[in-house]
Amino acid sequence: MKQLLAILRKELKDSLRDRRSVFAALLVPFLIPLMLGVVFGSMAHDGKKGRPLIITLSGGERAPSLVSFLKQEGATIQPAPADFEALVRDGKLDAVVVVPEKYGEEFVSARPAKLKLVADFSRSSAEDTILRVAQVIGRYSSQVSGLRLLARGVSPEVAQAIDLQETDLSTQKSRSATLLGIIPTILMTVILIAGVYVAVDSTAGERERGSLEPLLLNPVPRQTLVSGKWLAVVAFTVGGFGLTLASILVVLNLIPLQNIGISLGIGAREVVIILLIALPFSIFISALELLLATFARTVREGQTYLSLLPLVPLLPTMLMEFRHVNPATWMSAIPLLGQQVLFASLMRGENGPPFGLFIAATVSVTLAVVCLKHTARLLEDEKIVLAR
Amino acid sequence: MIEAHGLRKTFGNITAVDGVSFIARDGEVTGLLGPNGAGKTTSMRIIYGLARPDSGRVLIDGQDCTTNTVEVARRLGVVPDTRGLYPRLTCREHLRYFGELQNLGGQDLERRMDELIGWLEMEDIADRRVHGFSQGERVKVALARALVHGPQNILMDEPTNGLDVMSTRALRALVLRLRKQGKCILFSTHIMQEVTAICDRVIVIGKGKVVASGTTEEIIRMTGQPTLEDAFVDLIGSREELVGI
Repeated sequence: MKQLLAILRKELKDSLRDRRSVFAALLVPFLIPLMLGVVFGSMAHDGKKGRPLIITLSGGERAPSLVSFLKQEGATIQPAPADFEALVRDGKLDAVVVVPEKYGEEFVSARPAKLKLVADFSRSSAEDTILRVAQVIGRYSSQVSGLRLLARGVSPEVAQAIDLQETDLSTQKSRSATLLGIIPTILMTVILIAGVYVAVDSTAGERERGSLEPLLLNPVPRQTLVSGKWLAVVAFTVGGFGLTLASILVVLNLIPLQNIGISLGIGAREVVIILLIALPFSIFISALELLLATFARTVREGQTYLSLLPLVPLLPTMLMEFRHVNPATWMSAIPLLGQQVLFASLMRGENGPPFGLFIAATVSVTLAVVCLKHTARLLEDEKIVLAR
Repeated sequence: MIEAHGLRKTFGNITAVDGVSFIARDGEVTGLLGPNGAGKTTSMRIIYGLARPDSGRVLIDGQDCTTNTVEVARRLGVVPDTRGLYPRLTCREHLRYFGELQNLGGQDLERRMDELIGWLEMEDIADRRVHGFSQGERVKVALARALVHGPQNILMDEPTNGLDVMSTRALRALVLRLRKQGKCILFSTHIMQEVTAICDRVIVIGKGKVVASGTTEEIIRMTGQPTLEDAFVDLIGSREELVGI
């Protein structure tokens, strides 16, 4: 136990002084949330669907029934200032509805009553408001004309040739899943990257420097040696992962996501599930990295082997996307794929089966033990120990 | 005391060590002398247990190397041919790490570290990171690290390789100090002056075989040559094999 701690302490100290190791562990936590912030931030800025509709009305007192209809539809009415045209031109107002003097007269005599929509139609940020104002006024128009037809003994349905019914099946959560679907990929990637340099440096690095030989001359069981090194890799992997998760949560909380109709839905329960998926997986990946890097004679060779790891999760993702494979519980038993399935179902807001979590964790821990045992066996092999 | 009995080791078709037997006694400095590729490093590796011999066995203070590995590791201090240091650790951190791996700790370990740093006159570099150390400084760190647990038997593989005069002298002084303490010191070299200067006993190895052993005088007398170098050339057989020494 004392030896295990000595090894862990040395590897952590050594790695924290290594710029590459620290960089690998910190790159994703700081880079990705930044990108996430930019992408979602700009989306939140553009999309204003969720915002309450504010209609600026000039001469609203001439159309009381219109005003009360708009209010019923949930719009907030504000009177237009005198210089509204200049404000629209400057982009300070999206759109203004002007009720002309003759509106009442035309309305009462059942002629088409003219309303003016003043807006800068070339400005994309005003598009949404313009569209919504036009739609709500269109609804008012068809309601009034329907009443007029009824008064003349004609069914309003005659005037309606087509009734287009939109059915939006996306719940807020499943819409979020599409957008937030990249978060699991980010979390998987950081687990596959954060510990790589520590793993390579403490195995292939020891071989390259020739320090493995004196190290193995100490009365330390190989299994203890491997475990100490493994704990250091786990520390970096979990550290990188934890920082990434924390910074994603912070960034997403700073962005007004409700503007793009996304409910984040990552609460304490979700964080616990994420950790239950990620921690056993980190334990396995760290052990796997250690095993693969032990085969390498030099740091560079080890890096080459391990640089392929982050590409592996792309495989199941692509399979799921293109073949439209539905996630199933048995998939939890396959490392990488299992974690992705579990993450995906969590992000869709489904209640992931605890069974799947349990299977994935068991498989990960078992494989970690296998990797560590095999690494320890490799360190008995004189071809590995002495060949440089 | 180190006893090697009939060590044999082949790599494919090449027999690197071919029936090497010798004894290195406590309180003596034993030199393993041989040209490059004679099997010195492989013999050393078999003795310190990282290479398994095809046949033969090694006893360290009477303990079998292959069965009693933990006890043997306590009794051995090794400076391998690759010094194998960690560039980002300081000298003191190297000593502490290996001390802890030898189950030492606390005040005893710190005192032992100070003692070794004093012996090797490395106070000024003790708290510097090893990266950028000179060859001599690196050997000193490797040596102090090998001695941190106070082993009875000390193995050094070509310790003076690449050392300047001052470092070589410091190393020799340490070897003589260890001999005085009754330690068993075995070191491999291909440098004659090294042998004449500090070795009590010489084992001459050529092509994986022990071709002669005894004191310097005995070897010179045995071959009837005027100097150890002439005796060495006579024993190894041909001058061609000495190219590159």
